[in-house]
Amino acid sequence: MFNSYFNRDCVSIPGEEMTQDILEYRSIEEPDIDMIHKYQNGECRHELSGILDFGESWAPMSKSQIKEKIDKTIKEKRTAIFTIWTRDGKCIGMSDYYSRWDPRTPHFGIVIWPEYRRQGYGTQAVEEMLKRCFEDSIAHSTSGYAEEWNEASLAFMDKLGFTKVGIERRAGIRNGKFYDGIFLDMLKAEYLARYSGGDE
Amino acid sequence: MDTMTGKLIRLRPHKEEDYEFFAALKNDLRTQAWNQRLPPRATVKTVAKWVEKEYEKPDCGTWSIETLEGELVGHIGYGEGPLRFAASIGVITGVDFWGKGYAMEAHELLLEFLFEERGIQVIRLWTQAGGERGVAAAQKIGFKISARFREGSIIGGKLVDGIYMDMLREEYYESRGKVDHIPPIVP
Repeated sequence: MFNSYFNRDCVSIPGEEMTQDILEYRSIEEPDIDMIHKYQNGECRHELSGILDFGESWAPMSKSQIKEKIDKTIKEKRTAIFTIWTRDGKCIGMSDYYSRWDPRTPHFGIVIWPEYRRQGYGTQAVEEMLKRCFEDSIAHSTSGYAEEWNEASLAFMDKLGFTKVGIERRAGIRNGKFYDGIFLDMLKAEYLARYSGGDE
Repeated sequence: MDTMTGKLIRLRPHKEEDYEFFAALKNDLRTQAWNQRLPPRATVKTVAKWVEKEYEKPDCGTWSIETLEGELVGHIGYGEGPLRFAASIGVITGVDFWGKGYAMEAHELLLEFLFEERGIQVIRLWTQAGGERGVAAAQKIGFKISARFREGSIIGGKLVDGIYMDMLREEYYESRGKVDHIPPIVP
């Protein structure tokens, strides 16, 4: 009845040309904590705070806080959290996938590390996740979310075929003003028409 | 507000003797939470466990709704997130009590508590397009539809939209003719 439904879908900066053919997912292990800590304490603080469900998104997290959040997330039902790698061994970002409330309507978030943005990795990562949603699960639709000030993320999701379906009024406070969140979704039929030639 | 008592109903803490009725509400697909479609197998024991968990959470509240004559009608509650900024609410009342103004008054008492005593900025709720009655009731209270998730629920063999509704703090005060004495967060 009460919802804590919205993870922040931290899709990153618009991509341009793809530079890799295939990405792969890896589980988050102890040595990855250092890397995640570096980005959370650096340029990806807001995005990683969203994925790690850390309320004070402006504040740096310690390694032990990050580990604790990841351990908690991993134990949750119908939830995945993992890193994204190129086949040649570069970790380019991190993702989470939630279908706790209803596996027919999962959510996912993706963060691409700053040095790998604008190289097509974000597009490829989202397309891979859409494939997982709609070709390897019972998902009927998936939804996205971005704050109204995150124009890059909104443009990116629009480009990928998401449809704006509403707003979350007064989603938070930033720079002394309330801001709204933007909800988007994509139906399986739309995915198939766009990415698989319409074949069910 | 002195107590959570209205002209028709009051909100009070749950009692063990409420649980059989709550289990029946959870087992009635007409009164279940908005889209869970849980298997109708709730028992007094599962309800007791749920209540115990709810009472452990610092950012939630849940009450039984009873008429002023003491007849149990249903239950209502909220969860905050972020704390003292936004809250999501939900209500379940027995079908026999629909249309009598009980749920409406229960909402009014809860809204007053959340805006006046908790200082909440926005209150949200979920429903689904298969239950136009629920949407209309929420609109009558003053909630507005802010998002419509396409085909987000299965109800009665059909895909229906998930409806997200909300009410801002100033909308509550304006619509009730009240004065907000709490300084605005944002000038």
